[in-house]
Amino acid sequence: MGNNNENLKEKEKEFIIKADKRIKTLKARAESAKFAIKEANEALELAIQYKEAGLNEIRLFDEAKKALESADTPEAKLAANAIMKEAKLVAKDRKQLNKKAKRAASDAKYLEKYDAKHARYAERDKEKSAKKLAKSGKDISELGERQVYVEKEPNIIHGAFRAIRRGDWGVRLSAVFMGAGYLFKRQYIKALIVTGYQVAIIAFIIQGLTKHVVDFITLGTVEMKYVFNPVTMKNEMNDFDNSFTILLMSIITFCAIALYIFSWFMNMKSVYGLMKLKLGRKRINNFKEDVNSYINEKFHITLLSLPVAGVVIFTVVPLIILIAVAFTNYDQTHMPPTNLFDWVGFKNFEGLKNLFTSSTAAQTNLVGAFGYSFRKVLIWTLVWAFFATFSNYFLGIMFAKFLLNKKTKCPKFWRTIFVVTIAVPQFVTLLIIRNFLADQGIVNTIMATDFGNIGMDLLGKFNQFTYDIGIMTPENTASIAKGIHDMVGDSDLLTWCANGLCKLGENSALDVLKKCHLVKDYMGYVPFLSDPNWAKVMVIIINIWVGVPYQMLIATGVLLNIPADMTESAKIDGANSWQSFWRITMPYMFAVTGPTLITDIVRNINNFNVIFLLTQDVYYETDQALAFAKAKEIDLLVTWLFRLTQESYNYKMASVIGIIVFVVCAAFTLVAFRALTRGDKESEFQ
Amino acid sequence: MKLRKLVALALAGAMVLSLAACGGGSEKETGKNNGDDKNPTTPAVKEDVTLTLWGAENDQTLLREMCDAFIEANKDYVNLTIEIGVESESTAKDTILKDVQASADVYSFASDQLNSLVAAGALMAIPEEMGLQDVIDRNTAGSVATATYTDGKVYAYPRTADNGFFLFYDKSKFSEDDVKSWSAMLAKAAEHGKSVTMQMNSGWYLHGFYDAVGFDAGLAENGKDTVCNWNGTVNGISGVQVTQAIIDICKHSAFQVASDSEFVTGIKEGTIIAGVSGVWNAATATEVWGENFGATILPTFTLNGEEKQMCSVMGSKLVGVNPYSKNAGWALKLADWITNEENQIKSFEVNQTGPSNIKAASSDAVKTNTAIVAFTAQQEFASLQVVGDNFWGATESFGQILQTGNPDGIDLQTLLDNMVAGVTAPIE
Repeated sequence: MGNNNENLKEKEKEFIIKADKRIKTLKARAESAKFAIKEANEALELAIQYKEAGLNEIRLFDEAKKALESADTPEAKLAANAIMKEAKLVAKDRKQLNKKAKRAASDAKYLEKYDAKHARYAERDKEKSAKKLAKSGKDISELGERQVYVEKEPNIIHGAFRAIRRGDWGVRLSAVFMGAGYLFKRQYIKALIVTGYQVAIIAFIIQGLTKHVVDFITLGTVEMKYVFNPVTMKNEMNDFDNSFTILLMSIITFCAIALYIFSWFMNMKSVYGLMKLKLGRKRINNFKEDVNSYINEKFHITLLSLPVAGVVIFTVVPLIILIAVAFTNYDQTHMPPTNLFDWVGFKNFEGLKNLFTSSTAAQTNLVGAFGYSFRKVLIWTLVWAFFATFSNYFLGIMFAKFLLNKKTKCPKFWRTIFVVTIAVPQFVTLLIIRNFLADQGIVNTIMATDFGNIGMDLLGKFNQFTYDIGIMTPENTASIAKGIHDMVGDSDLLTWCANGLCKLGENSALDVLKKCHLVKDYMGYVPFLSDPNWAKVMVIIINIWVGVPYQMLIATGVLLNIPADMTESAKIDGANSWQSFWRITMPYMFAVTGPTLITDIVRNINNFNVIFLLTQDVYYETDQALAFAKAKEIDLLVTWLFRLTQESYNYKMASVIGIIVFVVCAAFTLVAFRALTRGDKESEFQ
Repeated sequence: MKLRKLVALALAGAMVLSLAACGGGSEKETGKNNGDDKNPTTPAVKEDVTLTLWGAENDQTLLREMCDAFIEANKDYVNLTIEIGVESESTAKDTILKDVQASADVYSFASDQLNSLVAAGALMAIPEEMGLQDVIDRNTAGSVATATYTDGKVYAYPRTADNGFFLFYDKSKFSEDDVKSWSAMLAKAAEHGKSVTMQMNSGWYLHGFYDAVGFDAGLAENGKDTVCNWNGTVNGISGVQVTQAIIDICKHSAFQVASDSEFVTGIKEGTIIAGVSGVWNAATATEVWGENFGATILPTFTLNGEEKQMCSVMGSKLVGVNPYSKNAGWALKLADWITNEENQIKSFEVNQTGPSNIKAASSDAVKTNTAIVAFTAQQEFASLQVVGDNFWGATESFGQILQTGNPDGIDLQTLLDNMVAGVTAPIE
């Protein structure tokens, strides 16, 4: 018994010494605290509570032990056990309290240190903003309460470096191990995820660097060779380089490096923000709460991340790869996997230097031919875009006005007819029209038929119809014809008329065109889609059929919105409909649909369907210089590009053309938009 | 509220996934054969070998039969699975050059694509150990020549020897004398008010005129570029004169320009009663004209008052093996099987193709087939056309100018010079 008492006293003493030590430190801190005073006092409070709880626990345990030892009867044993249980519970509580106390103590220390630091930074920022204000002639007292010493948000790069300078050790360690910052703030799962991401991306980058980027400058040196082994019945191939794989994977590795750098900066911002949260005494989310925030307040980030990732992976990266191809010699004679291709720098762009090669020079020199073709195709592309857009635009407005006119009968019927053309897929329409207008197609057959024959044909059909329904018989018709002849007789005038009619009847639409010199004399058909000039006109006309309904709908919408009072007042002032159209309607239309017009022109520059589907397989190029460069006079830049890849595998020139298309469209868009948005057109209009 | 957000997330995910291009390569199992090629010893464990074969659409049933027979014949040595795909023989090159490594192990193609395919590494030279000599011996010399590359090696197995062109005509409208020359034929057709056609905007057909006089278009020494002398003078006749002769034919009122499909439509409608075409349209012509289907050698054309016999191109359909195949040996054996005598006879019976196998071609049935007889007769005037890639584009535009009758009246020598410049341009 005495021993036990002594043991007890010993334990108590030890414990009290430790606890007192702790309390002493915390008291000292609490007294010298300047910034985290509340937290320091709380820590002190907790330490004192802990001491009490600890002492309580020791006594209880002692009591329980004593009770157990001296328990004779079962009831006494039960009682002893009950005390033991209580003691254990108290022990558990005490441990938790210890944890809480320790955390509070370390937090208090942390907050004290960094609050001090950041107070100094705040002072410095305040001085800086005061200086800046002084430069612009204002005094700091002119700013309201809010604007004093606002820590100006630096951009992401400066922010990262500021984080390293001003951050705590967790933030600084995050510069190397991205998850460290989260670890130090007790966001363990997030730390794990971020570390996993970092390891994965670095592994990918290292693999990319060692396997592919080493060959990036040379794009491969080992050509494919194989030997047939009759014993195994297989071809044994060497470990050959595939130039395209090297190019592809190298660029993907570069993109991964860019992504890593970007995510490093974002991460620094994030961990620094976390630290600022803590300094601001705000709650740091645990993982569940974090996920919740991404579903609630930050949902826009979650929702956007997938499409943005999609766009970057499937649009931006392939774009970079294809632009790179323009600087190589990847074409039919340098096709992987059997052949290798190399970097050739700007050699493929030499055609652009020769834009003004004459037709004769271009026929014997491939670079000149490309220059010549660039020029011709580019001019036609711009001409086409202009005519296609404006023809649809103005005709759309005409049709819309026609529909909206109060004098038009059954406008719904007309609208349905115009709009039904949208229901038929463009693809189908264009292919069918191409067949109609082919050199031996149905339209040409009709054009070549003499008018007389058409007339006789129709008359014959009409007669047959009358026989079929029973109002006439062949004998009746014959007797009527004879009767007319008898009545009229053989007068000169009538003979002359009859001869004239016969003469007329011997011509066909084709002959008329030949007389107008639109078709060469010896041709047996109208070359709607096979002669360059005819084809250009036909393509624009057919495009009207395809595109007008959309423009009509848009125009209808806009026209309905014109303030009626303006048109009424114009009428009252005596303007006729033409003036009212040009001075009121059109400016309003331009103001509203100006940007759409720009986008339409750019869209038509790339309008692949109409040109390609109408001329593929029916139009053969006759200008030998253009044919040398595999272009057609009717081609747009995009269709030329398409055929270079499909038919000649000339990927390098196709890439070059693609870049040119981009430059043209971008230049046009920028210039046009700037001109449009200069000044508020709407108010100008008013 | 939460459900809406989940749906929105799911849709965004679906949108992103739909942007992904689906690329799927079929996995080929590799097999091992423990014996040598001639007499494979029955291996202890039969390996599984999968082969892919590409053939024309009208050949599918026939090829399936042949493959089943092949699998049956070799069932003691290997477990074969053969998948057959559809690929038109005239466009085989385009599909294969898109991705050589993913193309079929065995495929059939027209012989004018040989050079491009070998240059791109899509064809494997037949090794001596796999029966090269037998292939050379059993097929006609002409067909083997079309399968040989400039380095002297044979790169494919000849399957048919009928890829050339000759004259089709309606016997009820023309007598045999009428079709001996272009002038007689065109005059007769004008009488009937119908047309005669030929596709002029292709170097393949133009060869018939220039080769007749002795002009050359062939492969340069580096194996990639083309040499062409059509703009010069040979045997005292200039290219300009030949060109003028062609234009005279094209400008005749009874001459009509027609592509292959327009030719078929024309004979069905009855507006076309004669034309230059090949064995691939023999079936249609027999259907339309029946007993009156006539086929004969190409007519003569008038040059400086003299009649010159037109020539044609010697061509054939070949079956080749892809060197990137994982089972090149078995692929070679399959190609060999498809082009052996028995199977060429079967092919003739089903599709009326002219066999390249000497024994098969000497059977009576083959000897009485109108189209094949005409083709064989035309072979006397046929030659190989081995050219580089720049040949086709330049001759297409040149031929187009001719067949529209040279509407801009360009000087013919200039036209020829430009065409030759385009043809002989070096491929870098």
